[in-house]
Amino acid sequence: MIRLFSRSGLRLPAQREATTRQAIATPPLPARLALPLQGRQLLCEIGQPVHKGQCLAPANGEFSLALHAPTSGRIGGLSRWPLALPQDAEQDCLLLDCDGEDHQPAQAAIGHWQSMTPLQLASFLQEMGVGGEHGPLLPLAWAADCRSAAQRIIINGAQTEPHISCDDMLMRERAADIAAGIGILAHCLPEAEITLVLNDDSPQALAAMRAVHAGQEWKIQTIPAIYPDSDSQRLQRRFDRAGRSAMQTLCLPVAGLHALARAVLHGEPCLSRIVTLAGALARPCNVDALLGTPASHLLDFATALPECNGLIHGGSLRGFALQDWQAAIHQHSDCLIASSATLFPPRTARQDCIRCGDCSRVCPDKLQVPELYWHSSQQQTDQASLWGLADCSLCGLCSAVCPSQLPLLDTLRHSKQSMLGELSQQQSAGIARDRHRFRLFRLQRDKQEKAQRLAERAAQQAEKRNTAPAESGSVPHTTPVASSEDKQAAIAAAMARAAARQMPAPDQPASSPQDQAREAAIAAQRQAAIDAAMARAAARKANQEAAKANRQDSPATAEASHDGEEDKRARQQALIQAAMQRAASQKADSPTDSGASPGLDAAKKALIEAAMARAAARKTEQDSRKKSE
Amino acid sequence: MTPSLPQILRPGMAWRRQQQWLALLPALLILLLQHGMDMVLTLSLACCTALASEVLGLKLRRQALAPMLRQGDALLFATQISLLLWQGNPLLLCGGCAIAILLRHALGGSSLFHPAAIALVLASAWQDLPAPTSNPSLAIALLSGILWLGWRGILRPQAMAGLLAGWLLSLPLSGLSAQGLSWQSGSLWLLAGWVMSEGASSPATASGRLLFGLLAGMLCNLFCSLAPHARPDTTLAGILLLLAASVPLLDRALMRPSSGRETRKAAGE
Amino acid sequence: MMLTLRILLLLLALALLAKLLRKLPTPVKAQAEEADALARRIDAILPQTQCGQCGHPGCQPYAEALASGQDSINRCPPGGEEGIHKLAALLHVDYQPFAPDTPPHKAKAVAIIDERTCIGCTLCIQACPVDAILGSAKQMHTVLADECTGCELCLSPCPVDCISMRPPEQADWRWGYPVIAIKAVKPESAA
Repeated sequence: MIRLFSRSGLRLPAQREATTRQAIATPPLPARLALPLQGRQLLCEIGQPVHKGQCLAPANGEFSLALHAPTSGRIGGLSRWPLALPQDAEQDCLLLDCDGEDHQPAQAAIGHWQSMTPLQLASFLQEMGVGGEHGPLLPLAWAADCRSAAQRIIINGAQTEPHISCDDMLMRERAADIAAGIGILAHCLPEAEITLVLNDDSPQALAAMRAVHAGQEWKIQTIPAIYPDSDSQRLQRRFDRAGRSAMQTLCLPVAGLHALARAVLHGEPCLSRIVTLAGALARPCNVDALLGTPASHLLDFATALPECNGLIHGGSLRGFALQDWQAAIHQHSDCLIASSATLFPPRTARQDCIRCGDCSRVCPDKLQVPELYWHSSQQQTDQASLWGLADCSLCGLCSAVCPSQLPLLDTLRHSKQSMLGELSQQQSAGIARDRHRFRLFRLQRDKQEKAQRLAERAAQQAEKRNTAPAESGSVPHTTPVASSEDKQAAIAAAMARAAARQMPAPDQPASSPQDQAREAAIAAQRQAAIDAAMARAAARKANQEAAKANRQDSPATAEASHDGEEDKRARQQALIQAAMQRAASQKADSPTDSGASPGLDAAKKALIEAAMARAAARKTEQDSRKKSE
Repeated sequence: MTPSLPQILRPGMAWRRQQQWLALLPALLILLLQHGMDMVLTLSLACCTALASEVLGLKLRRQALAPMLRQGDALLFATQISLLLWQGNPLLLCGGCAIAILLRHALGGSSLFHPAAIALVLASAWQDLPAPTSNPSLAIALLSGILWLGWRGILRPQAMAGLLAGWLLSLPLSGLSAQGLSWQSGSLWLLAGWVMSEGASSPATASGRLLFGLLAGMLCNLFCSLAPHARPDTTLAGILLLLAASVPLLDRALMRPSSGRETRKAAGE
Repeated sequence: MMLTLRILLLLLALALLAKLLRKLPTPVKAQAEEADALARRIDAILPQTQCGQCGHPGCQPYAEALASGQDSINRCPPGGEEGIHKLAALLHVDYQPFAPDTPPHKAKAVAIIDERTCIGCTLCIQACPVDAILGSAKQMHTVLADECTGCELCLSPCPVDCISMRPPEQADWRWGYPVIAIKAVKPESAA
């Protein structure tokens, strides 16, 4: 019987023995990978063969990463695919059909990494697809101004949720790469305090990291494996309490440091991650899975046992069930658990809260969970915020110990999501309000400036008129009598200038008559399309006005006018259809224009047709207006 | 949705009821040894009545029968009531059982008012129950049951500590006269331990439980001294029922809104 | 005896005087300031779509109308039912459902300009209440999707009908803890 209820959090049974018994395995290449695009622009085309590590889409924004092909193959297409997210959220994914060869061109290390600034390193990692908890491993905003304050960097290798052992195995087997990564980071940020944090119940990982530590500047520290102390926020708070709180603390995952070393020293982009496969499997293990692998492929590799009845993504507390086993794993997939009836007994029916108080006692954030749950389930997010919704780390311990099987974690997750949604809505509303206010101010200011200018000009002219008769002969003003000729000369000069501007410049290559005709035809097409659109818009407006007039008319005449409406509308439609057909036929004809003159004629014709359509639309509008009067 | 966890982390109501019933086992055995068939008959009568009223209550509330019956609420309460009322009229016992369990269902399935306390108070009001006899072995058995519950984490120590502290503090007011007997008869232990371990009838916070126990102990002493002819366990039962009404108030008063960093930041905006 | 009676009468008179004084009308400036503060608090609740469906040219005029009690609280479709409840709570009035002829609530959408048809007339720029359209005369116009509130005021001025409404992109690039969209479980009603 585990001694429950230590002061903060709970020491849970690690359940890592099965998956850490053997080395990290590499599953065979899947047939297809699904890579979420997330709005990034594609650099490749559908059907194009790509090699392993080829950049398929660059990052677009501060928090996105570049997308690389995890293996060689051919781009199969672009479609919606479920990802290993709650409720199997579908996203637009690039489907990569793997050819099984895993062809990768030779890559070289970045030669000048010793002289990189933090911002350059952060951008490089973004380009290589090395991710952290939110976006690139080193946040760009942080890297831009990281010299301003003292820095503390925590490398999070601790994992306290049951079943998850991916970081443990990574540190056991690839300690050298991790140490190299930390060394690069330390070289880039000489004044930073770097600490690697581990669980205290994984001695092999500790030994491996100590072996490669070899007297370097960074430190290794172990924490008791109390869930959820491995959360980055809790680690930061723990270190803030211990050390100086004036430091800026950054928490990085240890897998990111490993990817950093591979990227900088070997030029390899981040293409895979270690995923723990646990539960009702014949071969529970840790695998080095390519990003975008469907979960079913990994399950087949680990051979799910017959009693497996579900798939859980994440650990046993925070994990969520995957309905579609084809869901593709992503950079945050740390564990897949094959659940069975013995491993995860089905939940009994929900009952009323018996007010045992265990949830509050086990909550690591020291919240009053009954009150929080009550307000969350009643959708009162403001009251729930008062009771600590913003502090809730969604660890799931309260849900785990509740004897009445209340859905605490699910309700709190939903409530926190709606609270964050409300906050972001308020922020965008505030921005819209400011923009609106500035627009009103701008219009007012423009009006005032215009009035001022007019007033000044009027004052100047008044002044001129007043002083002109007094100084008739002294200053040679242009008198009204003589100004007409001057004016005409000025106008002629202006017209000549305008004509010269419109003529092609002499140093431009003379375009052939065909090119000119082609350009004219394109311009005419465009004009025709625009005019057709304008006709549509005008017709729609006419319809709206006529409909409004109809509604205002008495019902007796409504029928008569309705029939007239029908006729009119039919006529309008016919005219518009005719205009559009002509425009379409123009488009179809133009690629085959054979000479200069036919093209010009066709262009002229198009212009004429468009003008006719315009006129027809205007006529129908006038008719309808007359009828409604 | 959150998956269900390994059983070790999800105690569940069935497990709690099981532990509470197991803690009663020594006391049951002692009584069975002392009184033989009488006790067996009484117990089986109480259990049958309790099950019947539980089924009736569930049917009236249109709830599923099997999960609740499997959980064992009815059997637990029947055992507790029979331990309290086994000396009296069997009809009284059955009536008390039935009414207590039906009242629990009428109030929504789990109520502030513990069925054992209700049964005792009703039976005392209907008929004068005989005075409790001294039964040290029973008292020791029940005490060991309380310790078992405390070890299992179901009974929080603050409630018992508060009760004893309250009783001790108010001793100067009442004197020791009638108190010694009741602690040896055992029923007081039963009430104190099992009623207070019932989460629905006691406050959720630790300080709330302490206050609850303190008040219960002091009031018990006070009322016992004011009405020395009444049975002390009835008095305690009545006081627990009265204080049960104050449990939501205690919860409300003693639960403090969060003072975490993010909440303060969000509130300060 | 007479002394106590007199003292009591005096106290009664003082109490009545205090009541009368409290009933005096507050000066107009204070009232105006109160109304102003109230309008600001109402404006903080309104969704700032600036669409004009309430009949006022923007959210601030509607807020001022509400603060002076000249309009009802059920005129804002983008705020939805929650908006009406919040206004009712703030103004201490009863909840009023939407009128039957209110346009149905539409999901948030942003405008998008079809660049092939745009002729650069700037009519939509003049119509947008939050200046979310970028462009100038004879130049291509484009809608800044982050700033567009979905008010649809730009749709009718366009002479070539090139603006349409699209649902906004799910712009959550952050791979933080995945947010779950589930419905809160309603507590089962007992009995």
